[in-house]
Amino acid sequence: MFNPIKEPNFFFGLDTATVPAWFKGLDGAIQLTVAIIALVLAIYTFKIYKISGKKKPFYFGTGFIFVSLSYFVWAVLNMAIIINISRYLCRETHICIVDILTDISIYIHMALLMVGLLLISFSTFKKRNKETYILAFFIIALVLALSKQTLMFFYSFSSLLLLYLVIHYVRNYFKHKNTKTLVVGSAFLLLSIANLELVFGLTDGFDYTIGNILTLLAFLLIILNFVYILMKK
Amino acid sequence: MSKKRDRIQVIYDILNAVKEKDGKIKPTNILYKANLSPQMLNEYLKELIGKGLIKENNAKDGKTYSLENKGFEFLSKYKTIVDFLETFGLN
Repeated sequence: MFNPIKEPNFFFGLDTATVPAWFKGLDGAIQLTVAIIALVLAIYTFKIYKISGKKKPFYFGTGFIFVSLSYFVWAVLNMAIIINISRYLCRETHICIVDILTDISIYIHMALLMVGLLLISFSTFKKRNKETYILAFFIIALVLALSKQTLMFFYSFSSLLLLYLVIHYVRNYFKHKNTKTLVVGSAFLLLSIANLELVFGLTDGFDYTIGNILTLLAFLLIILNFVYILMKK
Repeated sequence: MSKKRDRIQVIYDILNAVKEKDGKIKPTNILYKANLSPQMLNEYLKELIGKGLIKENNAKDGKTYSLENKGFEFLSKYKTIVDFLETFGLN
């Protein structure tokens, strides 16, 4: 029931056979960068929540905290040093904690990212029903736990949720005619495509690479937009 | 019919009213300038004092209010805050 991960483990840099050589190590750097960007956005959003007392920034900021944590977990485990230490330990002492760590980390990454995306989408609703979202989280968690294609389902679901956010931002653009909103919508679209790429990336290192690069581009768009807002007088 | 103001806009209107009177404004003046009911005004004033955005001064001729540094900061960053909320669909 609580299956070990069936898919190849190269998300955490273990099976690097099909990942381009130049990308090895870079994936961890990308994920760390994404984690930092998400954190910066979350901190500013919390500042606004503190001043305004509005709930939307609170949920939005908390969502990005979870997103940041999820990418941080992924980045830490992609760090070559961790992998090399784990492999050394496995070779010398026969204590092979790599697989256990990988499995646990994958689930932590998925749980954190799922909570983060759900909170971000929750913040976009005019009327927010907490019970519905809690229920949605547990249903998704249950399906993931029972699924034999856990990561495939997870990234497909994430892609769909991100697509919903794209629609929200496009609607927001037509409401306010604010080009920056369109940029944010484009960033979420890139993220949605990135997550789809990661589904294919389960069996192809090239798609894994593209998925990570698109994720970075999406977050760079978000942070550049954010910096532009701050610098604008 | 005018659109209902959100919290941030109300806070801005209050702080702006205080700033316009060069930092010494009576509650009734804020009431008219910020277009609030007495009850709402009291709630907002209490909150703004608690957050360090304004200061209450007790003078012989009654209470007045002045801006704190945080209040000035809020006013200068108001447009940025609104822009951020609008851009990220949080308004």
